[in-house]
Parts: sequence; structure tokens; C-alpha cells
Amino acid sequence: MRADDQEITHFPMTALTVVSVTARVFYMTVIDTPEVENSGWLAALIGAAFSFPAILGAYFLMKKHNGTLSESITQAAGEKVYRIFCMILSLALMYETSALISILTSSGAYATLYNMHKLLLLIPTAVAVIFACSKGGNGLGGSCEVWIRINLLLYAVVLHLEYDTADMSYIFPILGPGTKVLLNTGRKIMTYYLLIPVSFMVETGYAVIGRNEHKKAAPESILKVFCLCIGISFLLLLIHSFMYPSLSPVFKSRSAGMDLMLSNGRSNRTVQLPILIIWFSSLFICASYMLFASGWLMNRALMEKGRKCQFLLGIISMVIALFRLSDQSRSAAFSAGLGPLLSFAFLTLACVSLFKKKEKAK
Amino acid sequence: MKKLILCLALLLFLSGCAPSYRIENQAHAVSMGIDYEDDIMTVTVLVPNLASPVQKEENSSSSYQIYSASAENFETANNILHASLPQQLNLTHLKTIVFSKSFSKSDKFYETIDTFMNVFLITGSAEVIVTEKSAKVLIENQKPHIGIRLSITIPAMLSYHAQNGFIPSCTLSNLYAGLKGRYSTALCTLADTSGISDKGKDKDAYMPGELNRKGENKNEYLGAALFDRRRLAGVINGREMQMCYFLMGDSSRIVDFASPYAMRVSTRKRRNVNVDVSGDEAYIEVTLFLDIATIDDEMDIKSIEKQMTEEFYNVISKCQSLSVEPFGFSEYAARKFKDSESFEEYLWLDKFAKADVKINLELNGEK
Repeated sequence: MRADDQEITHFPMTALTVVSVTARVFYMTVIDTPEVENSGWLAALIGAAFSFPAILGAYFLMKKHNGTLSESITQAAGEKVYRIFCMILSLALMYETSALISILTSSGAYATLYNMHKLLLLIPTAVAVIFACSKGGNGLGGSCEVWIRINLLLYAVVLHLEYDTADMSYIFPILGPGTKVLLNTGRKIMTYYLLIPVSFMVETGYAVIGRNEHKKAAPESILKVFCLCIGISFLLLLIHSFMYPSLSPVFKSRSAGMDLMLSNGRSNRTVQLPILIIWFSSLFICASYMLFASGWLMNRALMEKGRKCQFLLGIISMVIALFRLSDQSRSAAFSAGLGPLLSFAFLTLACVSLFKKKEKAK
Repeated sequence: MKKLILCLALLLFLSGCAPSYRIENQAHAVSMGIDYEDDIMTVTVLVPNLASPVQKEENSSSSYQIYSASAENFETANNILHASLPQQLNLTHLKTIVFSKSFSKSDKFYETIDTFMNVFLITGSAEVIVTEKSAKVLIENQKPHIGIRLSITIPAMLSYHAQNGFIPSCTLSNLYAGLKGRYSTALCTLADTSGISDKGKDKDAYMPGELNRKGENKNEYLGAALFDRRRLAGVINGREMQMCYFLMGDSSRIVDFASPYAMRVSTRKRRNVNVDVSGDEAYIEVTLFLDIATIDDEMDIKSIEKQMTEEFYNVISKCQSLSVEPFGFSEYAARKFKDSESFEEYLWLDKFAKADVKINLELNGEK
């Protein structure tokens, strides 16, 4: 096994984080929370605002301890706390991987294979995710960077085809379903923005060309990635809101939600293919990255090396999905609960770091 | 060796080939019609015959086949069709869905559309047509008089008529949004098979089926069917539909009128709409900017403006009397509310029915 398989440097990590976070935010808003109607873009901003203190806490940690986020947490809270934190995060990301495998299976079933047995759809999907992950973080990130360029082209095709029927008035009334629903959705979305500091825990910094060493990323880069994710999610959701008038939130299943998203219902128009490719590929990248990060964190927690943990976690996530323990309602509830916990964890670590500094000063 | 065995084992899970959908095994319906009389729904589908020209000639079969089934509801009729058709009925490539007027007015209409959008594999991009009489007869008369394939000629024909402003462009999804949403209501193409020509009718006030003409094609597409939030509310003729386009702010039409002069009307710039919802009654002010081109030397802009304004008011009054609002004014009204609940409590369609509407017309004439 190559030594750098479980490493991921800054640029690949950034690409993977941006694609994963924006895909997840978009999916949560458009498919899992139809009650937000055409105000998803506002819910995304609210979610970003909720997650900002934790992001700021992670930035503070990196700034104060002058290291990667993992090193900073270790210095702030100690090795044992860091390893426990890694273990918890790893399991959480494993469950997220399972949820994403379920989503990918449902998407595949919706698109063409609606008469297929779920087992025969799920296993190849899970195997593909595990296989992609086995190529290492930098390999995954490199593919993601290529995918971003293809994605832009496909999205331009979608915009061109949808332009005629778009209407900016569909975002009004501006608060859509009301502040209560928006705040609730924002709380759910917050979880995905908090994947950003988790990604910074996993990265090893910039690779120095010609030498087997890394240069750590500046702490400001976490804020830059955060702004990038907010900007892209906001734009995608805003454009989506222009495409179709909001209807009464009667759609509960993911396939019904996908129907509405894919060009006004089960359309056989040209736009359906590029949207499906963007959709499927983005979520696939997200699933692979979640599994990679989960494996990396578990390695750190158990002081292991190699791909064993990653492989085992992949199998467990597949089994969880097979037993429908990561279906729509459960995974949405999990995401809603995970966000506040992650936020609390990073803020606590930042406070601990501050408290330690004050003690030293005394 | 282990890798080879693993790869071979994985091949078993390649599910792509198993549930294949061969074209020859599918009955890809091009059109579907729904009639509703005496509590019985009749579903009619028009399916292309994929046999070779030689086979068709040998069997004396035409290029298209029509199947229909009758039952109490769409689900049962659909099951009967599935059970009786020689191939699997596939509605994902429908080009048109035709509803009879009686069905569009019935209580079954709303729940059937709901079923389409939530349950059955029916494409949302099919154009909706409402026919004055029987949907089955309209579909039977859908023939490729010019051209070969109906899947191309029907959408092209509807697009052409819509370009001239005679009919709206309304897909099943647009209709659904009009029924379920809180913005403008939907309007769909009105059609009928040709009947007796109605001589002495008001100039330009023709409805489909009343045109004084001859030709191979029996179907006529002219005017629009107006829907409220549950069912068909009323109809407008071809001329009224042309006026509707300008009120809707559609800037892509170039419409030819015969009266008061032979003239070509187009939109110069985007309309201006102001909606005031602060009072007990809604107040709507619409300013339209139109260009007129005519070869008539005696063109009088003032009289054109007067006549067109009157016609615009007539169309709006008609829609107000039917409690429908297909012009897109609701999108402007929605901006005045902070959330959906307060906008829904306002009951826009009721308010529009009693609204004070002012139309300003700025014409630019060219001879």
C-alpha cells in the first residue's frame, strides 16, 4: 500500500468539500424539505449563519495553534479527546455515507430502473463508492476537480434549456412558508456547512512539489471555503427557485420531489439528462468523500494505517442502507441532530483553547 | 487471480441489462384523450405502428393505431389498456393530452390530474388540449397530413399556432401549477373537429369547429380554455387569446390582426404592472408598449388604441367574471406579502374578480 493513500492535500480537499457541501445543501433543501418551497436560498443563508460560530471557532483554533485543524485540536484538548472526537465523527460520516448510498439508489431507481430490486441497485452503488474511495484522497480530489469543469458545462446547458420558462417572481412572497419553517430548515442545513471544518481536520496541507512534505494551509482558507460553499449553494438554490412556481408542499417522497425538480415533472425533454448527470455525479462524489473522511478519522482514532477501516466502514454503511436504516426520514432527523452537536463541539474546543491560553497567562 | 474472481463476481450485480425496455416491446403513445360522460371515463391512446412500410402494406394497416378503454376512473381504464394492448403502454413520450370539455368541468378532473402528476409515468411536458366535444374523435382525426411522423408534426403545428397567438402553450405541468399553485391560473389550447361553418359570426370571433374553410385536416386549434383552481371555468376565442398574450407580457409574439386595419402588432418593451393590495379592493395598473406596422395609409393610431384598449378590457372583464387570472398579475401581488400564508389569506382570485383594472396603451405606429 502506498503511504500517501490516506492523505489528502489542500486543493483536492477544497474541491471535494465544495462539491459535497453544495450537493448536500441543495439536496436537503429541494428534496428532503419540500415545505421550504421557493425560499430554499434563504434557508441556505440561515443555515450558513447558524454554522458560522463553529466555523469561526475552527478558524480560531487553527490561528492560535498555528497548525492544521487536527494538530490544533490535539494541542488544545489533548490526544485522547482528539481520538474520541475522531471516532464520533467517523461514525457520523459513515452514517452519512449510508444515507447517500440510499439516495443514489433511489435516484437510479427513479431515473430508469424503477422495476429493479433494491438489492441489485444498492450493492453496485456501494461497491462503486468503496472502489472510488480506495483510490485515495488525492485521486478522488483530482477526479472532482475534473468533474467541476464538466459540471459547469452541463449546468450551462440546463440553464439554456430552462431559460424560457424561468420567472424571477417565483421567489415571492420573500419569506415563503414563514420564518419558523425557514429557521427549522436552516438548522438542518447547518450540518452540511459543518462538514467544512471536518474536511480541514482530514487534510494535510499543500503538497510541496519535489519534496515529501506539506506546507500547512493558512487558517483564512477555512473562511474562504466557507464563503465559496455559501455562494454556490445560494446561487444554485436561487436559480432553482426561478424555474417553477411553488406548489402546496404535498410531495413527501424523494421521487416526487425529484419529479418536480427535473423540469416540471417527468419530462422527456433534453434537460432531464444533464440534470441527472449533475445530480448523480455530485452525490456520488459526496458519498465517496464521506467514506474517505470516515475511514481517515477512524484510522486516527484507532491509530491504524491503510484502507482496512475505510473498507469496513464502507461495508457497514452498505448494510445500514440495505436494512433501510438510513432512509429519508431517519437520515433527515440524523442530519438535523448532528449539526448542533458539531457546532457545540467546535465551539467548546475553541473555548477550551482560549481557556488554556488564559491559564498559561496566569 | 483473486482480483479476477472478484471482478467476475461483481458482474453478477450489473443490473443494467436485466430490466431492458426495447422499443418494439413498448406502445409509445403520442396522444392520449380523456372523455367523461354519464360517470364513465373513456381513455383513448394513439400509438404509432412500428412495422416496416412493406409489412404495413401487406397487412393493410395504417401508421397509427387507436386504442380506448372505458371505466369509472383513470386508474381502471389504464389497467384495462395495459391488459389489452399487445405491447406495454408507455406514456412517457406523450406529445398531447386531450381533455373533453365535459371532463374538464367535472369533479373527476382535479383528482385525475393529481393522479397523473403523482402516480403514473406521464410526461409533464405533454401539451394540454381541451376539446369542445369528444377527445376520442379529435385523436382519431390526428393524422400526418403534412409530414410523416405525428410525434414531430403535432408539436410543430401547436408551436406554429402559438407563435401566431391563436392558442396558448400549456403543458401538463403548467396546468398542474395553475391548479395547485397560488400564482396565475392556467389556460390551455382549445380545439374541436370541423363542423358547420358559422357564417355571419362577428369578425375574428371564431371558435374552433366554426371556421369557414375546407381541407384534409379536420381538427381546428383556436382560442383557449381557462381553468380556475379546480376545473374548467370558461373559454375565449382566437382574437381574445391574441389580446391575452400582450396582457401576459409575452414579448416573443408578432401577431397579425385583420381589424381595424391589416396590421402587425409586436411588443416594443416589457410591460409595466403595478398592483396595490392595500385597500379593500385590489388595484391593478398595466401599461403595454406595442409597435404597430401596417400597409394601410389611412391608419389612425387613436382609433386603433381605442379599439385595442376596449378589447383588452373585455378580455380582463371576462376573466374577472370567471374568477381566473392567467395574466401573471398575481406574481406582482405576491411581492406585497411577506409570506405565503398571508398571500393565501388574501384570496387573490376573489380579489382579482372585483379588482379595479386600468390599462394604459402606448402605441408606436409605422406605415
